[in-house]
Amino acid sequence: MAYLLSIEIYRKKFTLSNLMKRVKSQMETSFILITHDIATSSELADSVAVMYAGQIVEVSDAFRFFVEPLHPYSRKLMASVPRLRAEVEPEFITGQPPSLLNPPKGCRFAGRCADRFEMCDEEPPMFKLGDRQVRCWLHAQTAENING
Amino acid sequence: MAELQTSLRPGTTSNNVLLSIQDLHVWYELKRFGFGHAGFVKAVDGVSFDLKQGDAMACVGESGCGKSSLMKTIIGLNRPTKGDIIFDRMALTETEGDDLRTYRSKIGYVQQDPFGALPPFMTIQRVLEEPLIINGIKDKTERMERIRKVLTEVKLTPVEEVLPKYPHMLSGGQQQRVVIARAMILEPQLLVADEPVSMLDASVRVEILKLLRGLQESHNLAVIYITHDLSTVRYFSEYIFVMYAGEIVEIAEMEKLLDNAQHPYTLALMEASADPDAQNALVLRDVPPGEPPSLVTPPEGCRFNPRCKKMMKGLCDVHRPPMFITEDNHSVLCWLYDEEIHPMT
Repeated sequence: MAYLLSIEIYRKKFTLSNLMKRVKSQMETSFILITHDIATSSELADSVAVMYAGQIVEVSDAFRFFVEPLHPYSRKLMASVPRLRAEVEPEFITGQPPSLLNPPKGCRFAGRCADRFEMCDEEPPMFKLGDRQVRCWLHAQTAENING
Repeated sequence: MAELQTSLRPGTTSNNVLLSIQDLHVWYELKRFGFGHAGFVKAVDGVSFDLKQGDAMACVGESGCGKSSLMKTIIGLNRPTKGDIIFDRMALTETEGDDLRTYRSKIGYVQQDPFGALPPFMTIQRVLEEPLIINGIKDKTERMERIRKVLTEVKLTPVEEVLPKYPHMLSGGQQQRVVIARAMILEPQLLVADEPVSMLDASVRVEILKLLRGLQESHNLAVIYITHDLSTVRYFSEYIFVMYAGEIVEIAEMEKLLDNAQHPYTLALMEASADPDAQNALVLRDVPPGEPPSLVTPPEGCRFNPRCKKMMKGLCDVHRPPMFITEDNHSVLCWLYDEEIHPMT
C-alpha cells in the first residue's frame, strides 16, 4: 500500500484499489495492508490494527473503528484526516513520537495525550472489549485484561 | 473572447493583483535525431488567472497535466512560449539578468520532497545563509539575525540546537520546516508550494499545512498550493483551479467548487477521493476510463471528451469549449454549461 500512496494520481490509486478489491473478493486472498493514510486503509480493510511507538495500541473491526476509534491516539489520527465532504477542520497531534532507543515508562503515548491521568505512568496492558482490543487505561473499567 | 479571459480571474474586481497569468503557453520542442523538429509537448496551453496579495490558490490535477510546468514558469525557471506572467508589475518575458534575480527572490519555492531538496553536506545554518549571501547581505550578524527570526517563525526551536545539524539528523516534518524557512528567508511576496505534504506522515501533514496558512496570514503572502489531494484544500486556500491536459477546466472560490463542482473531470476527481469510512471497502470506485491524452497531439475539441461520460457527439469532439461563467467567481470549460444548448443548467 505504500506503493499505492506513492502513486499520486487518484485514478491510478483507485484503479489499483478496485483491482485489489476484486482480487480479495474473487480469489479470497488475505491482505495485510501497511499504510499511514486512514482514508486509504478504509478502502480495503475488514479489521484495523493501529501501531504507535513499536506497539499495537488498538485492534478493531473496520466498521466500528471508522465510526468510533477507542484509543486516544487513533482518535487523534482520525481527527487529523482532512475531509472532502464534511466541514470538520483537521487537527494535528502536538509533539513527536518518543525515541525507541529509550521509550518512556508507562504508556508510550502519554506525553502527547489529552486524556492523560495518573494510571498512565504504568504501562497499560491490552484490554479486551468484546472482539476489540485497546492498550489504554481509560478502558480498564469496561474491559477484561488479556495479557497481564 | 476578451470577456471570457477576464472571467477566469476571480480577483479582477480589486486592483491589488500580485500575480497575473495571461494566456500562458509553455511548449517543449521535441527533436528527431537530435535536430529535426518533431512537434511540441504542450505542457501548458492557454492558462490565465489572477492572484491577489494575501490569497491562496490551490492547483489540483493529475501528474502530467502541466501543473509543475506552470509552477516552474512562474518561479522563472522556464520561459513562456506565448503569453506572459506579470508579477508585482514585472513582466517575466521582459525580465533579464539582475532583474530576473530580483524577480526570483520575491518568490519562495517549497519543494515536494524535503530530504531531496536539502543538500546533505550542508548544515541548516549554511542552507539558510546561502540565499542571503547570494542576494548580497554581507553583514554576518544581520544574516544570523534573519536566520534566527525565520527559524522561530517556522517553529524550529531551540534555534541554536538546530543550526549546526545536518538534514539527515532531522525528522521529515522538521526538514520540511527548514525548506519552508529557506523559502521564507528572503521575505518573498509569493510562496509556491509544490505538494508540500505528500511525502510526510499523516499526523504531520496538517501541522505543516497550518504552518503555511499561518505564514500566509502573518506576512500577507500570496500562496500557490499545488496538490493532487482534493481533501486537503478546503481549509488551506481561498481559490482553487483544476487542470487537465495543460488547460484550466474549472476555477472557482474554494467552497463553490467543493460544494458545487461542475466539470465532469472535477466530479470524477471528487468521486475518487475517499473520506475514511468502512463502507469504502464494499464499493468499487467509478474511475474515468482510459489515460490522460498525449500532450503532443491532444484530442480535437474538448480534451477530456474521450473519457467523459456526458460527451455530446458532434460538439465535444469537434469544438474546443470556451470558459463559461456559471455563477459569480466560478467558471468551467465545458459545453454542458452553454446556455444556448442547455437552457436549464
